[in-house]
Amino acid sequence: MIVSTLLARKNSVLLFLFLPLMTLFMFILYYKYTLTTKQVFDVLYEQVISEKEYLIKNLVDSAIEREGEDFVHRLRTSESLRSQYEGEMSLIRTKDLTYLYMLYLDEKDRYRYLLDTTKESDEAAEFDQKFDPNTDAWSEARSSKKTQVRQQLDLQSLWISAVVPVIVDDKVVAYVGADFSYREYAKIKEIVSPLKDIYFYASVFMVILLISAYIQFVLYLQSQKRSYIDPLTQIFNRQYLIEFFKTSDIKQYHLLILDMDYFKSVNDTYGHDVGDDVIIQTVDRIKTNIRSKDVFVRYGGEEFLILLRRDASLILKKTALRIKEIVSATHIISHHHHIPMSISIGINPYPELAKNIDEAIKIADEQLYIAKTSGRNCIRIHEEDESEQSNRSKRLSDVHAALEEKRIRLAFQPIFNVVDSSLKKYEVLIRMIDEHGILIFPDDFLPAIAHTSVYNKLTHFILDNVLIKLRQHDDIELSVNIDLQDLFNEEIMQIITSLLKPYPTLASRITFEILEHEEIIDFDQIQKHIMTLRSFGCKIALDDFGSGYANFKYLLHLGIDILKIDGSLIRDIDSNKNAQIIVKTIVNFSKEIGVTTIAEQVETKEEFDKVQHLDIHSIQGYYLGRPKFDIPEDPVS
Amino acid sequence: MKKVALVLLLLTTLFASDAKLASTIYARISKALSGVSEPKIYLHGEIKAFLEYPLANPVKSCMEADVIITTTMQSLPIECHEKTLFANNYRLLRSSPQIVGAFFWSKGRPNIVFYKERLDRHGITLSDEYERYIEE
Repeated sequence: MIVSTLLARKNSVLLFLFLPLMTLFMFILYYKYTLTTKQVFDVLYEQVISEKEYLIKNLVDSAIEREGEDFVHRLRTSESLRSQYEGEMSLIRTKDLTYLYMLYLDEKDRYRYLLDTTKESDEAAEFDQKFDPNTDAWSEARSSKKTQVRQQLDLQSLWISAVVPVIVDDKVVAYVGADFSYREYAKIKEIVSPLKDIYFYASVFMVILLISAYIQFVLYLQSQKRSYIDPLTQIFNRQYLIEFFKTSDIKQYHLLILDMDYFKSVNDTYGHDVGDDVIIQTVDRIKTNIRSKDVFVRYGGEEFLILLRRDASLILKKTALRIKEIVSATHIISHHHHIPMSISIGINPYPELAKNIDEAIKIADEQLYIAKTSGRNCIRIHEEDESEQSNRSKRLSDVHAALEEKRIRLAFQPIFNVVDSSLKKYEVLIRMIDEHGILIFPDDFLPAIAHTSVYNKLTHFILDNVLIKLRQHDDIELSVNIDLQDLFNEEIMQIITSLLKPYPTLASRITFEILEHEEIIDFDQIQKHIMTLRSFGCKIALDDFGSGYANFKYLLHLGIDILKIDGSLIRDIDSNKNAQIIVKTIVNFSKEIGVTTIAEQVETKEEFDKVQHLDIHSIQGYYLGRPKFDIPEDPVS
Repeated sequence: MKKVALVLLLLTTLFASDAKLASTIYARISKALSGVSEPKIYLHGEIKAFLEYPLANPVKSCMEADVIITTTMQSLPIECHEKTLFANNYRLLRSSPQIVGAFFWSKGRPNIVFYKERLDRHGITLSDEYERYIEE
């Protein structure tokens, strides 16, 4: 998989196409050169042989003409005649002709010397001396009656030999042998061999270059592999994921994000050695339930990402369930400790529907977050279809544009203080005005931008404007809604800290109303973040108390200042006895623990009168005032 | 078969040097002349091929030899003249009746000649493979 990822890179083309082609080209050049050299020799060969053949034939024809048809017999019987013709033959024996001689075939089919132009005493043959032919050229010349030429590959001193048949009355009566010197061949070879050597060494160099390039590539692959592998778990790391997404089609995968539950406590309780061991064993268990074509990545400390390859045999939910169950099936044993372990899984089944890969991961991450806050050891699958994702993406762009074009507005709804009958506190509400001037409420756009940078920008915008308002109206307080999840978001906390910490006076006039949609599991974490907000001087309110997840447990654990009684309890409170009892209980309990109360969604005079008599500290609702984009200069007291 | 083998040896010298070829032919002929598988050979004179490819079973005295390979008859002890003598050139073979045959280079080609009468005198019968080299 690493190789295919790297091969997709452009520079690999050099290695896999250019170098082999160059090597092939060099070999073709070398081959062509060899072929051309051979052709050169062939031409030369023809030239040399045909010239000598012509001279020999002329000589022989002249001899036959002079001596008659029993030319051979006359030579065999007359030493002086042999001497005469040896002299004549010597005239055509040039430097390139090592030997020139005439043979005849005796009754026993043995070749014997008739004439020999060789003068060197150790080389000169005697008349009638036997000659052992070393090629079939002689017999071929006899049968074909044509000149035969052979390259003397087996003799060190000779290059080529020609056998010219002497024909009288269509009968071969003798043979003229002409052996050409190797020196000529060597001379030509010497001239052309540097070129041959150049081609040969260039080819060898290219092969060496190719081999060394491949070795380098293998080494590069190994080092890349090391950089892509998490040293602890030996699975891919985040760096690999970046490369993988560059070269792979995400359409072919389902995206899963996994997080080991309560891993921090494993580290805190047993130490990092055990923690590492638990991670390794968890990874090993997961590996047994995925295939080699799936991509398993250590995404963070105890967070993993799996890209499950889609095919007919894969049932996503079953696979995810199997992975979850294999991790929690038995305790992990490490350093003699039996440690229970489970994982939470967030799944984005169709990551290609997201705007980009970061968005796709974010969607899986959101599901993981929900799985974590839903009690852990569970799986959450993103069910949004393509059009929903598209709408979500469009909404995100809308909000981004609205922020840029200052079409995000803050609205302020008054909160009436029953104790001193003043109207000096407002809840800050957010509104978006679309391109056509239509007012959009937060429920229509906030979910689309959750966990995005736009959401962070919006948070910054709200707090910035809240501070401006507080500066403009030094006698009011503002209440700002904050989602419970924001408290876990480091970037949001960073924005709050950077804006409020320098202005404790202004911050002391801000109340954060915590909205939550899921049950709080980790009270310690929440308390820590609430303490941070309180350290800036802010007050903390718990919104929608009495409905959903908000309950007395929260009241006890979170250390809040204000409790906002849910509108569903206030509505019809004048006529609903049960609601009156519940609200009374909440108010009494709050008083006991020093928490003030606010009744929201008070819409009628009857509800207002009733709530006033229930000893509630503040009241908010359309009866007292609808949200407005401006705060009156002189609020009603 | 043997005949073919010797012809092939003469013909198939590709990649083999002349010295190696000569040394091999001398060794085979010595065996054929002596009739023993490892003949004791005495070298009289100097043959270049043996400098590069020495004889397999040389002896220091011609008297001990089964075959004497010679380049000259000069200074060869007279008592060795009756031994089986084999020459390295045609002229010596022609001029010395004690020599039964010769291996030599003629026109760059290896040549072998035996004289039948001389072989008969030594009671040597060569196998068929040498037939084409025997002169009457």
